[in-house]
Amino acid sequence: MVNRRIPILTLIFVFLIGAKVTFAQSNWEPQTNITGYISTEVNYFDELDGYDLNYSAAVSEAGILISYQPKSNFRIKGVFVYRPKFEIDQMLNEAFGELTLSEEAKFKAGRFLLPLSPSNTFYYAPVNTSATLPILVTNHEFYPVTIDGASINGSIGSEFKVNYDFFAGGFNNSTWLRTGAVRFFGDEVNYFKKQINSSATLDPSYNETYNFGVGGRLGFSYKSNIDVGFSAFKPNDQDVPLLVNVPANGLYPGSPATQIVQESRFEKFSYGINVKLQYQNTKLVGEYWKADLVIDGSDTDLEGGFVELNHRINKVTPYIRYEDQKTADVDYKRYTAGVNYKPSFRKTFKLEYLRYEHSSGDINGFVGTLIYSF
Amino acid sequence: MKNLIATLGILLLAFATEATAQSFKVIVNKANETESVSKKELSRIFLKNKTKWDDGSEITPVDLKASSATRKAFSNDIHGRDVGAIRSYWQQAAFSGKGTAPVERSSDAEIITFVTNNPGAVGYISESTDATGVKVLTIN
Repeated sequence: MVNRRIPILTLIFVFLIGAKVTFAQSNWEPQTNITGYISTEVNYFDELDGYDLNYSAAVSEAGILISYQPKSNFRIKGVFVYRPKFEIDQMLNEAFGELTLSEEAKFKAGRFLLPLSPSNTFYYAPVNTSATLPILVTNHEFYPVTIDGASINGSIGSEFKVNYDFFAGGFNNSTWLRTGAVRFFGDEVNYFKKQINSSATLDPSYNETYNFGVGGRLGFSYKSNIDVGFSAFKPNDQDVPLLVNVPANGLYPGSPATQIVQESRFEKFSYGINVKLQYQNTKLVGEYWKADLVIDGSDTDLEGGFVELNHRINKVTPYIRYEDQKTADVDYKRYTAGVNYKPSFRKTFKLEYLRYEHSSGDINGFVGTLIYSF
Repeated sequence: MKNLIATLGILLLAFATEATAQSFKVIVNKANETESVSKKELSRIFLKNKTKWDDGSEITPVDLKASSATRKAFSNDIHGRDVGAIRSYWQQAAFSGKGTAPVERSSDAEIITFVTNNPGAVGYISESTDATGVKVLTIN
């Protein structure tokens, strides 16, 4: 319940601020913006071990965004995205109020997407060139996507800008959030850990827990051509349930092979750099993240990154992406190539080929997506 | 063969006509000291990348509805992209928190009223519409 109480309380708080601001000014035409989408997709994988089906088709997500700006310096934004098998709380992606003191200083409170990386602009199906999200987004090991808290942010300058966004708040630990029709995306680390019979992994009960953290992003941009950002995130130290594989005779002579859950102390600090370069219709986006993880006093390095290149030719955008993710004992790469065809605002078609490379065996997949926007 | 060449010629002429035709005029409030604006600047203004006039006052762009023929002409000529592509741009901006689209009005008359009532406003109307009460900008 605590993870629902916090966003509700912060929302009440920002509505109260909003009410005060509403009465404080005049001569403003209130603006409402409503947009959304329904996304369906077909997935096919050739060698997915442990899954009943290699292919499936489903409504992958359906989202609606409503923003209301009663005054020029105050807005409320809410985004609700349906995804199969997600809880209601997980579907409430954003619900916050933002007070603009000036372009250099804005205050935001409620639930909002973290500003840690430009990959958040990929988070919703119609605004993501690719048919799949970067692993850094679908897999939440390094940092959460949303937070319930407060942020102070702003930008200084016009053509050359310095942007900042610092925040603090609570978040759901949700390392494995399966998405897609086959529900493989988001589960990659867990999948490969099973493939190599890893000695330990996070217990699924970790997904139910709540934690607090602080972080921020400092960015530098020139027009819409260059954007470079540096980000960091520090969650509170936490006792995390680990699922440990114990081999036969591991507990006592003659004991059978089994699994036990044991709590370990996690101390974590994540930091990264992200870059966006755009020249006319060509865009290059990339980021690299590193996380220093200390488990019961023992150091482990985690890292991940991706780079995506796309080039728009009128209504068609071909793209390629390379991703790499290293955890304590899993290191895999994902290569993606696809094409995005958007004949109108309402319709988007995407077709994508993916190849996961891992020492336990490679996986090939196809994703076809049809999105209706409104 | 002659028919094919003639057809291609007509098509090229049609595209050339569409590319150069300007069936709209850009208007600002009479108090605005600006006399001319470039296509690139206009595009930046309507994408909210340029937010202030030269005197430092706020720019308030106002669009016609997406179904308007004048908006289609404006979008193709000024942004170099169709209305659907610009709506997609604003959908991305809305989801990623970078901003929201300009306010919209249904008719030329409503655009003129909006520009008349807002000193920082800039809009566009059909070339044939009477622009009395507002200032028409020269497009470079």
